[in-house]
Amino acid sequence: MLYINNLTKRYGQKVAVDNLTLHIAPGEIYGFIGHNGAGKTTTIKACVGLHDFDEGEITINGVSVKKDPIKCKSMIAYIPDNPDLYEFMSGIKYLNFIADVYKVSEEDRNSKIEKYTDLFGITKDLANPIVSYSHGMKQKLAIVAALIHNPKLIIMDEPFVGLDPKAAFEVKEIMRNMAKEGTAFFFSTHVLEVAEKLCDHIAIIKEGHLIIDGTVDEVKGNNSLEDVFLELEGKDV
Amino acid sequence: MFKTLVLTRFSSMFFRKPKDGKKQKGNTNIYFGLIIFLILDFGFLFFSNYIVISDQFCNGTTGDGTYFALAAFLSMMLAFIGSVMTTQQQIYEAKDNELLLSMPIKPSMILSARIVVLYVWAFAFSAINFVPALIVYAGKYALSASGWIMSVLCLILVPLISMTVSFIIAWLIQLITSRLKNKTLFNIVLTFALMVPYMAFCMKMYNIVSFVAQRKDDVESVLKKYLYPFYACGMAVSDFNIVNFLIFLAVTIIPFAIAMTVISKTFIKIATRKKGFVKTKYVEKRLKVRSARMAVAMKEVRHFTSNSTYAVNGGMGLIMQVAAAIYAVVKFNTLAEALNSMLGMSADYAAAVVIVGIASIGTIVEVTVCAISLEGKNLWILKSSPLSAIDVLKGKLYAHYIIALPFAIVSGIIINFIPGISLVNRFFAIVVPVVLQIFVAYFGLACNLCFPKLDWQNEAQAIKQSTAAFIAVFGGMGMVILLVGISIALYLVLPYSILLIIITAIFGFGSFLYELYLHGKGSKRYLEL
Repeated sequence: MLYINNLTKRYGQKVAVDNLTLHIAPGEIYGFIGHNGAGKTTTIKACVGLHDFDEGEITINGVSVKKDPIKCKSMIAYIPDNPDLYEFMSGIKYLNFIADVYKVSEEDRNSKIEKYTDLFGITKDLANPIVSYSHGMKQKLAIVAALIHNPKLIIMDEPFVGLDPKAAFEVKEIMRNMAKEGTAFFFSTHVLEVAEKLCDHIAIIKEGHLIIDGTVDEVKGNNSLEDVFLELEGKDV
Repeated sequence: MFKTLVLTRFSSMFFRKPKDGKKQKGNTNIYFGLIIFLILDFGFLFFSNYIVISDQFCNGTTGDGTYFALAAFLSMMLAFIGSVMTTQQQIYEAKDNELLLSMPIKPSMILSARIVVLYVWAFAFSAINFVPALIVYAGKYALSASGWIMSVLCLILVPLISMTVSFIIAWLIQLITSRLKNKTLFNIVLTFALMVPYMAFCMKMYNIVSFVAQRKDDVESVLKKYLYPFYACGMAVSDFNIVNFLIFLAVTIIPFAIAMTVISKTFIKIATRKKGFVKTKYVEKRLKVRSARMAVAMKEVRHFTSNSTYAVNGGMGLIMQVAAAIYAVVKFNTLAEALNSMLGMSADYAAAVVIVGIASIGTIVEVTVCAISLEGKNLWILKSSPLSAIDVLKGKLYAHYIIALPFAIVSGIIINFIPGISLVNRFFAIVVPVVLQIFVAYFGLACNLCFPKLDWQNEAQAIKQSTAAFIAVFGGMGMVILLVGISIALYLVLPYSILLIIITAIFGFGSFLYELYLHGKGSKRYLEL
């Protein structure tokens, strides 16, 4: 589903991501772990077309992000770490706007909005302006917006930050259910416990370099993911 | 720390941080060049007014206090109109209050930094009026050293009055809007209530100045009776009257200090209060399905109508266009007669000049000029969506059309009511404003693509204080003068119908060129943001 091949991104002299290669299969939940500034967000933003990159290739379902970004974007959904949304809009107008942008049919958008806003308990607030929403509510709204168009790949940057325990549980349930139906998830997280329990595959990145990737069992062996992560973090790249 | 806070606030008001971290000296130079031009422009306007007033009010000896009193009062009014909305945004609506309060910074320091910035802002407005008054007087009659000292002291003190009034009005605005569901409408009405008298004053300035200049005694009597502090200020400058100065000092300092004390005591409450929103329960309705471009356009329209600063700054030209059309219908005969007697211009050509003039007022409509900048931190939404650059840019253009074209058409229809207007003029009365408005939409968007300001702290910075906005405002004003001037100048050379065809063709072709730009370099530029 998502192929990142030899991705390199530089900011001036600084190499933010260096020759990174990852493959995410359909139906896979793929956790991307690393310390702050390791290159996770840069990689994610390159995948969703927010950042250009210097070398390598990213393809989504066989379509190059560089050559046909619009087709790629229509297949994916992106949830950023900080849900900056249009505060002048009401929740429902924002969701309808996103549905328009992704060309979702009227029937589909109605059913999806009802289903997911009920699930996250934000239906009654949909008429209110987003500026009146809490951080968690904005995050929930961003997640609902991401689910409206049935994406084949969902890319998330720290999706659990700001969510209450119930909402975090619901998101994990949605991820598991959608993954069963073939949707792939690629997300960054600092919560190793979540990564350990939720993910099929894990990649750990340090200073722009991939230091390990594989199934959760392959990566952690007989240790906890936390032990492995801390050990790898201590090693020189 | 205090210096850092002040500098941060100034830099957030006037500069933008480029994405690549490199300084863009050219943009800053253009921006400051335009600000200086604006200051000089207004300064010259006030300078010429004070020449007229000083002729009647001053004799170069003692007793010229009324002149300085009037200058101080007008400076205060100008500073108040110029800073009341900024005061509301900086004190009551600042978005970084909670962030700053969470840091080891004293609340008093945060507040003081804001006050300093507001003072400089009010001082600039005040000085634009007061300094020309001083220069005129000093040039004509020579101001004594004591007069200069008093002038400088009064110049320093005048903004404090406008700030005190601004604090109270901004507090009242805040109090009212926190209880209203439709804050935008209230803010729009309020801004118009401030702007309309101001615009009317600017438009009728010559008549008002002439009227005032002839009535020194009446002005003196009003100042003495109702605005004594300003009279005292005038006397202090004119006669080096220490008692009057102390009165003025007390009137400026004491209310300001009281206002400061009240604000500083309630600052944490102000900064951390929940903004009042009247909650509405969602009732499921049928959702309207739109194309992607129309979705972007309607999003832009919603943004425009939900933000009073955007609506007033961007839409002022629309109201002016319709008002000017009504005025032209009422006054056309007088205008046509004047042009005929001065230049021998036919009524049909005069009508064509009116059409061009009213259409050109539409050039100060600013919808697209900040449409990119206003995306700010939300730019990720459009950029991660399956929208091509041209879809986004076209959506923003459509929003401009949806907002502006009805006004352009209405102004054209109104012009059709000019008695005896020819068929050609009737047709172009609608076509020229529409074509010009389409051009303005392209021009504004191109300006914003070249000079985006995405790192604003509040939206007013993107709307009013960006290089793109300055270029559009000056370009618009220049366009009005240029088009009307050229139209009048060509009356001996061109038939009026050809003039209208040429103007339509020029702006139609200009729009076509901008269309090509948007498909090429403009799209590329958007993708680089």
